[in-house]
Amino acid sequence: MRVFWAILWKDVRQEWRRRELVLVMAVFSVVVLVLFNFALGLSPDRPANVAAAVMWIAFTFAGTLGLNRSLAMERDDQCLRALLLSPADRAWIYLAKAVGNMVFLLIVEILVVPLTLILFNLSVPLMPGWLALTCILGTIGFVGVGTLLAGMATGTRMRDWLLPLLLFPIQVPVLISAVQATQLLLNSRPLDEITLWLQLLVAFDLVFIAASILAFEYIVEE
Amino acid sequence: MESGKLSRTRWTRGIWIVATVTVIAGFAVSIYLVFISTGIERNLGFSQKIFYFHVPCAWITYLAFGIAAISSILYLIRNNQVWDSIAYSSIELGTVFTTLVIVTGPLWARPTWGAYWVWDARLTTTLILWLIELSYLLLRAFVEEPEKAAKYGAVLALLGALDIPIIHYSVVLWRGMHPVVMQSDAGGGGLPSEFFVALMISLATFTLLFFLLLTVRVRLELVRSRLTNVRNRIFEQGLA
Amino acid sequence: MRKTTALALTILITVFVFCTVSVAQPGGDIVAGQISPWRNAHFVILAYGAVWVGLALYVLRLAMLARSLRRELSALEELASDSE
Repeated sequence: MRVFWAILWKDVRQEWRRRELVLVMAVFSVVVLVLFNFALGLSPDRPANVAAAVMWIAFTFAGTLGLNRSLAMERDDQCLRALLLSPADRAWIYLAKAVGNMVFLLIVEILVVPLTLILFNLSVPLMPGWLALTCILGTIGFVGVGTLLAGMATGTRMRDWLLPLLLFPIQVPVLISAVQATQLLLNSRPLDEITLWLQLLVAFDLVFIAASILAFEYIVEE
Repeated sequence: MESGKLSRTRWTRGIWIVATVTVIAGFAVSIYLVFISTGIERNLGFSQKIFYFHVPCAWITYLAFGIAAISSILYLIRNNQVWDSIAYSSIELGTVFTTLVIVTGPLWARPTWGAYWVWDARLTTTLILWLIELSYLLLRAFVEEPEKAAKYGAVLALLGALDIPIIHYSVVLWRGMHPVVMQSDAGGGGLPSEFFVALMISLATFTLLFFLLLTVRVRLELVRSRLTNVRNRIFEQGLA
Repeated sequence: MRKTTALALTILITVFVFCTVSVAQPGGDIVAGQISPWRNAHFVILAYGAVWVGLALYVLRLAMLARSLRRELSALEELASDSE
């Protein structure tokens, strides 16, 4: 358990000093948003639906960047090898990396969601708390599997290219659910339609975090 | 295995011959049943015949992935090379069948529903399964050490297996189910019996073919990994 | 041997694709409900052909894999006998 906080704190502090990840991810998300606006034309038909979709695509791409960088830094610094020499529980290492990635992606989302609303001329949704919950659940799902797969991908020749290939197909339920929930929220639909998607997100998160915790020790055997 | 040969005893050779002949006969019978014996379906026309190959391919797709998932679990638990070979072979063979499903699906969909691709649950899930299988093969190809590749592959196969039901359910929620295959002439929900028989025979033939090919592939994979081990050991010891 | 097989297969596939494409005239793929049920035959031919070709290609791939394994094995055996 101590290992968990140690790694998490190390990652956060390192990011605070270098500010590499969050900044790059945020800027990249904004670039994606703007690009989509150009691609879609100035006033798309149903801005709330389009905004939700574009936003989550931006988070997916930015999140992939962040995962790649996060685990590449780990490999470069040789910290992981040092950690593995210790008898610390592998599960805690995985959780620490995952939570770290999640925190960074959430910070990016806090910055980008209002920007999306502005760029697409949407009013603030009636239930912003539920929007926040959607973002959190979606991010957990993304980062949960993503950290594990990034751990696999960094070791290979393909590095950065392999992670999207591995992650995106597995990620599909998160993307579908998060986008649907966000669309419904931005369209101010009643809550019972939205909770269905959130339940699906929760199910995905639970299943895959459990699976990733179990699988992580097979990934990092050196 | 005897040194240097993919040799078999007379008994297993007998089984091979019987199996191969059965597969060939099975395909002959299937073709006869599909094209000559069964009538043309009233609503869908001649293109409905694709159904007799498309459905078995889809069944094999999921069978292959299931076998791969179970083998992967066994590999992670027991750490025996054989299970990994089965998993890899099953995924590789499964990818072939998944490709066939994705190719025959639109060819059936176009004359039947008017569109080449409909984002319904089954077809979409199969497409994503195809992508997962491809990413598995790429992962195995690009990881350097064989044992690491095996472990990574096993984990990915497991994640995929866990994911498929969730993907299916989420696409169902999102899009709606596979349209009902066809109404029988009697107005009931099932298939007319002659169609059903043709489908079952086709299914059995394909399944047998799958297991035949899988056995061949697993053998080749076991030999390949042993050869790689021997080669690495030789070069390590500097005999080259 | 390998080259002739590949050549034969390529010719076969090209002929096959050419036939199906020429059969698929504009307006040829009629949606269900039309008068003649045989109009959609080219879809069926293409689908069945794809299955056969796909399976054949895979069996070919297995044969090539077996051959390369045999070759590697004999190379290793030669290596072993050389170093004795």
